[in-house]
Amino acid sequence: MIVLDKVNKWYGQYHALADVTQRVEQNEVVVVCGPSGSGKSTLIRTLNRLEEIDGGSISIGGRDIHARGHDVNALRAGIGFVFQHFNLFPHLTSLENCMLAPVNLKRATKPEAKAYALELLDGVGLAHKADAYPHELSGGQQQRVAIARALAMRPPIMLFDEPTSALDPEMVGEVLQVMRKLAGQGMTMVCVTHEMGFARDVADRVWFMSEGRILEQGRPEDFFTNPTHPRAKQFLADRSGR
Amino acid sequence: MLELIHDYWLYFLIGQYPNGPLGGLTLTVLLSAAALALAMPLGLLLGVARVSPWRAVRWPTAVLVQLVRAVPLLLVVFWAYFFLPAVTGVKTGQATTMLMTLVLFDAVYLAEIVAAGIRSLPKGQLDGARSLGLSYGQALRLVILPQALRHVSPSLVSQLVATIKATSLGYIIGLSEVSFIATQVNTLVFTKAVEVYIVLALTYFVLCFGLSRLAFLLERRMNRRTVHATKLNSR
Amino acid sequence: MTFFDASLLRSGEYHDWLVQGLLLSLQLLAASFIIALPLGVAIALMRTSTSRVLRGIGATLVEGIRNVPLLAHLLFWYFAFPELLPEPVKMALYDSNPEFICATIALSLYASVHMAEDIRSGIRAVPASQMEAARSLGLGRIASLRMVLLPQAIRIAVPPLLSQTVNLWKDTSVATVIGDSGLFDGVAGDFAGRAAVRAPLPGADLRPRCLNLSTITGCTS
Repeated sequence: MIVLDKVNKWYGQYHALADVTQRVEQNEVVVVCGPSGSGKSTLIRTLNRLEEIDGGSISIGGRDIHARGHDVNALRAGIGFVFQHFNLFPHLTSLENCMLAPVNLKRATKPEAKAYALELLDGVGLAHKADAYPHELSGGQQQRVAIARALAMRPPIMLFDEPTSALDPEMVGEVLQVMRKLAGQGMTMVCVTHEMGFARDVADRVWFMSEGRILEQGRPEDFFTNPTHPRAKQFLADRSGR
Repeated sequence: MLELIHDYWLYFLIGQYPNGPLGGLTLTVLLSAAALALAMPLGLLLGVARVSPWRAVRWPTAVLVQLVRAVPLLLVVFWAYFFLPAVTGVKTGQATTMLMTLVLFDAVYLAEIVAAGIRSLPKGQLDGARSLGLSYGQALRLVILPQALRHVSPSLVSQLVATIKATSLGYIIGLSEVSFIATQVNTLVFTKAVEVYIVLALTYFVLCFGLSRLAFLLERRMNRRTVHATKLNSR
Repeated sequence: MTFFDASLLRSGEYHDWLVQGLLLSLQLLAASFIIALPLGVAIALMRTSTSRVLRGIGATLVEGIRNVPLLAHLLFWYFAFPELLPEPVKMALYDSNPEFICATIALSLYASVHMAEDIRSGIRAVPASQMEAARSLGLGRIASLRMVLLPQAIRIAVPPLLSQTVNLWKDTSVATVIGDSGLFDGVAGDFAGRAAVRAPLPGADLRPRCLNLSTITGCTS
């Protein structure tokens, strides 16, 4: 479904992404892990063109998404993106946050959007907070609303950029639970995360990145027990020492 | 002083109306409010242009804004009143001239205020809106501007105060705003200059200080909301 | 009617008036600045002092002066202030240069409160630990202020103070224009040829002061 072919990106002299070539099949859950600054966030942001690329190509559903003239807004409407810092709109309630895009992009009428939004909020366990404003919610609650907001556009693909990194430890679980449920429902997901437990349980494949390259990729049971690349070994050793 | 106020309070308040054009304090306030209201659309446009992602839009706007801010308002008032009619052949009245120059000035200062408001939002807000598939224009209209304008509402009130003070320059082209009326009263009475000008100063003070306090309270109310939000999510 | 006759600027009557007007503006700027800056520092120190009384006085001064437009200040100092003076002082004022003196007072006060606010921001930007360090070395309050706090505060405040000086320069043009017809016959309008009524203030030749570049271009028609 998603095909990356020799993707390259530079920030000036700094080579942020180097010859990234991978595939993500439908219904697959891919976890991207690696040390800080390895380019994980940059990579996932190129998938919905929040970042542009300097070389190679990315195709979704067979179409080159970075081609000139490709409709960026339509692309993004078809992909759900969940940010590390939630980015909920503070001047709107949870419900309004979820309804904003479907209504304004003419995907649904107001009543339809409202009904589906309530259904989604219920799905993440926050139907009772539909009329609450973001500043009235905890971090974990805000992130769950953010996931519902992304799902409101009924995207076939969901991208998660370190969704639990900004949360207090006790709230990480509730967000991961929502993500597990989504994976169980067959959603195609690419997640950048440090949560190794989640990766082990839910991911179909793990990509290990360092310095802009995917150094190793494979099934989680293979990767976590028997990493081959020395850098990957180092990374996992550091992690378990924690 | 009380006698003075008793005799001239109406003239001070509305000028020669209805036997002449509206003047005095009412003119000052109405002119300021009208100028700010009319300048708002232009100010919004220029403010958005100031932070535009396209350089071709950003730079000329920056130049325009800096240029207008560098010129003293007095000069523009003169040019508009004495010079412009010679060029265009259309002689505008004092109130209209003053209104035009105030709208121009307010638009430029509003542009800076709006731009600052937009820049004060976390970058994630635009990302969040665009990641849902909203266009740049939709993101501005639905997400960025509603928040930005709310954040800068104290500055908007301060700009109203600045406009009220700027209307006093209308004196120089003979506009019957409140300073001009005060001077006319002084010429009529002649022996009470101190009282007249103290009343004038007090009038401005009450008006401008009152509005400034409003701006201060607005700012405090908004800071309280942000503190509440950060408390909820603190580590 | 010529659109813009540049030769008028280079010599002749208009040229002299223009230069005179410019000189007057510069003189007002210098005089007002010299008074405004120290006054601004004093007011800023009042507003940041530990004494509630001083803070109150400082705040009153700033709010009282700031919320009244410059023009109203000029009118007060030109018209009302001389009336408050005892007779011999008033006469002495009229015999010298009343417009200049009154304009300088008005401009200085107006500029000083704006500068005071900028300096106050500068003072607040200096970490409190600086004063603590100075005091713990045994320096008295005034010495600490003078040698540690103020130098740093003023350095921080230089950019906004510069723009306040530019504002002061722009404000002198208001004062110079007022010094002519608008002030004395109460109706500014087409003042380019109007003789001013000058009963209270003898001896001042007011015409040159109204000229600046803007009025030149208006005058050529």
